Amino acid sequence: MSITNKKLGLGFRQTDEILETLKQMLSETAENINFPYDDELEQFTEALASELTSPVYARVIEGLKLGFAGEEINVELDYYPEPQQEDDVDVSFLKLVPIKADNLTLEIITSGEGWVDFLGVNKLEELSTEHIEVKVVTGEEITDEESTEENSEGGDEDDNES
Amino acid sequence: MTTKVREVGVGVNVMEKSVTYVANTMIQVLFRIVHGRGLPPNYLQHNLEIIENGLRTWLSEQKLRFVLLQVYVPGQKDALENWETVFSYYADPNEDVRKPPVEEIEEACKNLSKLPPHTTYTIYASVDPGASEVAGWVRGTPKPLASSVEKIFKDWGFGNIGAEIRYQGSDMGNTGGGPERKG
Repeated sequence: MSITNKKLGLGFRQTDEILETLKQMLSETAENINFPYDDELEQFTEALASELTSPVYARVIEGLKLGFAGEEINVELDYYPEPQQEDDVDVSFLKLVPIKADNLTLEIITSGEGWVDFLGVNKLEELSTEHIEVKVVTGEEITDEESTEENSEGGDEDDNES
Repeated sequence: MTTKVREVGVGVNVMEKSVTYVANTMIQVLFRIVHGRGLPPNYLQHNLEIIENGLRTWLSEQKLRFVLLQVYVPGQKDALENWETVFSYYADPNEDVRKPPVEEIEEACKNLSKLPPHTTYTIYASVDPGASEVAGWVRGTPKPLASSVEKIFKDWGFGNIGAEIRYQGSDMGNTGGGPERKG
């Protein structure tokens, strides 16, 4: 099993650019794993971007976790990066051994339960398809889990653990 | 196998980053207030693009003076609360990224009285003469505010633009005032 941690600095990007970056990240992941369901993925990413619009404007999406074939990519969204960090932002961090997987899971980490209800973030789970599962979790839940499990540090640089 | 996406180039100037950062954080703050006061998000959600276009246009022109989120009950003469964000423009950019006081706003909202049923809100922008027209914004006048306490929160911003928000209402403060309404 491999874990990749990444921080994306997004403070100087407009929301539509942020959504485009997230879509690109999914697309690259799918390419990396030879995900065979192109139409399903395309429809999913468009729907996801639409539903994420308000939460991203509100800055209540703290991160994403992509899972496939035992691999895990954790992406922390940093809305207050230093300008120099922002200039280095890209999504070319999928330094993974090409691997085949027919299923993807996407965990969307939000700031708190109140926001899940307020902006209807829980509806994101309804976007799940036959081969792509969406889960919405809150940052508090992650913190609770980390208190009992070994913590993996994120950072500006790719951090691969095998 | 990997592709860079819309990378922000080093050449992008500080003013453009200032505009994007302050417009982004202003919308974030508006969401925090609406959420914190238990107001419906629909108005904000349905007008996000219009609000963002207005903010970006007028911040770029350095003609946006303040943004007002006014809380009121439809049909009543006076408003209940004003959340007013005043903008400052600097010739010498400050490279420090100063975060908006979202936690402080959320905490303050918790200490305010619950708003009456059917309370709603409108977002106004006050601009200097010569500011561009932005589609979706219309002229209007806020209601007077019949209250007397206020709270000023820590300022934030980046580069050439700074912002400072103050609350005026019955629980914490008031100074009143009536900006030109756009939107």
